[in-house]
Amino acid sequence: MKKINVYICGVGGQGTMTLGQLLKEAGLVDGLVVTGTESRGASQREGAVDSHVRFAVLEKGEKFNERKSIHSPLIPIRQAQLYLSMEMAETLRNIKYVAEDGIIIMNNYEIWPPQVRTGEMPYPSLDKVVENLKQFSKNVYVVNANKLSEERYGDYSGVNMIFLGIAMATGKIPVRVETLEKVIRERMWNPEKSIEQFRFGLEEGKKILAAGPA
Amino acid sequence: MEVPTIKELISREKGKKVVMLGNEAMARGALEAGIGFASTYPGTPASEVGDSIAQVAEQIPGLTFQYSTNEYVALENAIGASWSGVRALCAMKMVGMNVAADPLFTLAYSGVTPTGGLVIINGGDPAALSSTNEQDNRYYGLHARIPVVEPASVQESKDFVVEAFNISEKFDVPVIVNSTARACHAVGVVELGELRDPPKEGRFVKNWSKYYNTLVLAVMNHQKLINNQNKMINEYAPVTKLNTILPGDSKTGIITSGMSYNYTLEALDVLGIYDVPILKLGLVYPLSPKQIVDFASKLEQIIIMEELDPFLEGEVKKIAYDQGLEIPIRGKELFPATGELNTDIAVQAYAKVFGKIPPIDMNEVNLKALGASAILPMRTPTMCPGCPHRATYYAIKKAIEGKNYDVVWANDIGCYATGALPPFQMGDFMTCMSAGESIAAGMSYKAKSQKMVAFIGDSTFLHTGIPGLLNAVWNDADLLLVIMDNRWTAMTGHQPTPASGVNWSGKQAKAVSIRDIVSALGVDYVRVADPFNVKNAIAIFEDALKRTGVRVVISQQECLLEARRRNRAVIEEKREKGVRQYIDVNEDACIFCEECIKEFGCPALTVAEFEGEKVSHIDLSRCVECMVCKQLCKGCAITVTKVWPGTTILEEGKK
Repeated sequence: MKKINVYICGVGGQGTMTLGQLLKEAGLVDGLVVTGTESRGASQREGAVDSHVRFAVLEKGEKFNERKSIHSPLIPIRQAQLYLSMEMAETLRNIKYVAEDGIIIMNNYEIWPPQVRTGEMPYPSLDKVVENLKQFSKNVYVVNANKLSEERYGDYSGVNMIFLGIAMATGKIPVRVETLEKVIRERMWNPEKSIEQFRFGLEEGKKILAAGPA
Repeated sequence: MEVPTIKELISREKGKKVVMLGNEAMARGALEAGIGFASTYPGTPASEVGDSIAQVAEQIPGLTFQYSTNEYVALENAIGASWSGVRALCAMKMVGMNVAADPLFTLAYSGVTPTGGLVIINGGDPAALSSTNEQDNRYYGLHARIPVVEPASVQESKDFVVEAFNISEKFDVPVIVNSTARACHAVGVVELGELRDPPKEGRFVKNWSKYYNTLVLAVMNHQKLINNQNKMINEYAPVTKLNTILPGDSKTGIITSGMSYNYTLEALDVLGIYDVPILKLGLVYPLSPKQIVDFASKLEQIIIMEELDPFLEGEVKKIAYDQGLEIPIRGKELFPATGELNTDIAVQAYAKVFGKIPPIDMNEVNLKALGASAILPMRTPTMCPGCPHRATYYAIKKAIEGKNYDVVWANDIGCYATGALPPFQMGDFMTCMSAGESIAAGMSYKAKSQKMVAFIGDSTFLHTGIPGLLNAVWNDADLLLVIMDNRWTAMTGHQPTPASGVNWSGKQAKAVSIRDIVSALGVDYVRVADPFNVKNAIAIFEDALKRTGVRVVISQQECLLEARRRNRAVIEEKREKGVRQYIDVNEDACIFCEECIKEFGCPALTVAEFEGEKVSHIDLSRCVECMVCKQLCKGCAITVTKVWPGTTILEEGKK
């Protein structure tokens, strides 16, 4: 039984919870064992938030074995094959989850916490963040979903779906693209726009991955 | 986006599989049990239990729902429904159980009715992510002799609630379903069961000796409770499907429950151990001595994995002593008693037990991750852009500026608790719902040279704050109480309060006036401030701070998150078609005094460069136009700009 873990993090309000929910539901539709957990409550107010998404996939002909399946909603350390971050510095916060050969997709968008705005603490540079990420996995991809959305739609309304599309382009998420689109159609309040954004992200993602890691 | 949809919560498609949150699954379980009544006071991590039922209650004839003013009121209402012969659910976070404890203990004596089971859902919080402590509420089961059920998966979160109602009626006792934040917020697949319709109405059947607890009647009911519990231990606990055994030949066995069961299975998989027998307890109180002894019969050692206190360890050890079970029983010597457990902690502990080397050294990874993330700025929760609480804190900060006040800041439970963090640091202590005002009142008699300022939210004030303020008036305390009235119970997801003017379903309802309540409690000095009117608010606080005795300032402005959510359609339409205004920094005029950034600290305010100089900048994707920074700008550099139809704010902002 193959355990596939996708870790998503960001800052409260960015939509990490929504992305996690869409992936989990797509996993259910595709018949996978699915579990996960998300930050709720106090951490939502501008705080660091995350969503753990876990799939168990049976190999061909394999019988389900409770002892070898996924149970914990939390991803164990060094087990996330895909590590997604919606905010630049946040990428480092729980980097212990990424697998040695895991793919890190970092959205190069900065949300400054109060202590940075007041000048008490510096916000780290992109180079330094990437350097530190590389101590955990060499596969670091820097994207800018906010910029892509702004250029295409004039605002940040497409960030989430573009980012999801890029994540899907890694091929690490064990759900079918059609399934995910079906779930997006059912769940998002502006389905057609969301699908268009998702597909745009998917295409951008392919380019980014083809260009190789940072 | 809401998952699941209302459609799925009340779906009659038995066998259908849906993705649900643990809390939603518990709500669905209650609906499958045919509850006719549900009450709650919202509290993370249990909030979504009540919210889910609130979403669907109107569509289920015979189901009455209420957000109650607090947990003991919620439980007492549920008791009323149960004693009328109708199944009742009451949901709360674990510290809410302390508030509800008063009726709880005597409820256990009286019990429930044959058709009116009563289940209390308790959301625990190991790691205290949204609480002021980590208390382990399984002890309430032990203390009040009430059965405690603990689900491990989202599916069980639903199924166990249904079974909890069955137990409740069968053994004439309320039942606690003990979940933890991780289980409440776990997201997984649930196979739906059959939805049961609640009865149209109930009826209270009088039975004085059962319901009137005092003297010998209370003692008799206490004995009845013990007898029922013994019956449960002997007849139900050994055979309940809530407890399961994964068999194995190893001489070391594991007893565990809830999330710890999940961590155990995955940790053993990581270590490649597949022969350990595991007793998974779904009924964590009371335990069956027979089941424990049978499970232990071929074992040389028992390991107990559980979060927080050694509750199961204590219960199993009691049984072991009574039954002459002389094998090592190890629990908290292997697992921490504080914080949340996880698979990684389990791997380290079980590696020690079974003499294995963990494939990943947790401490090494943690240390390395700590090093790599050392360059990360702290990211503590803060108030949102446009939060009225920030404006209130700012006004008070300005009101004490330059004065020689030695202020003690009493804070309380709610979004405004983040006022204790920079840039305000107006929170010297936070204890439990509404404790701030009374602790400050108590201090005012002794710490006489200091000025007491207590903050309390509207919902917290209406929860348990009224008696404290009444007491302060009666006993002549010296205190300024600031009621942070944002119209909603915002922190837990914008549930209504008695002062919101709407009921649980969003329909218009009577809005209780907080000002009238405060006046009725005997407070002579009551002022209402609008924190978005900066000058005025500062003047009100200056005056209130000067005086002595009990003074109340109600700082009133609706939570902008909720106001904007309600008006989303209007805002969207305006963006598309109408003239829209937004505020921006005139870089030439900005003197970079940092008043807006350092003193006010709105997350939408950042620093930018303009012609080689640092200037304040407004992040338009985050600004919600509360207009407070415009009022406090010393260089009058923050201006209002109009955006004309057909352009977006971002395009306009770049010009």
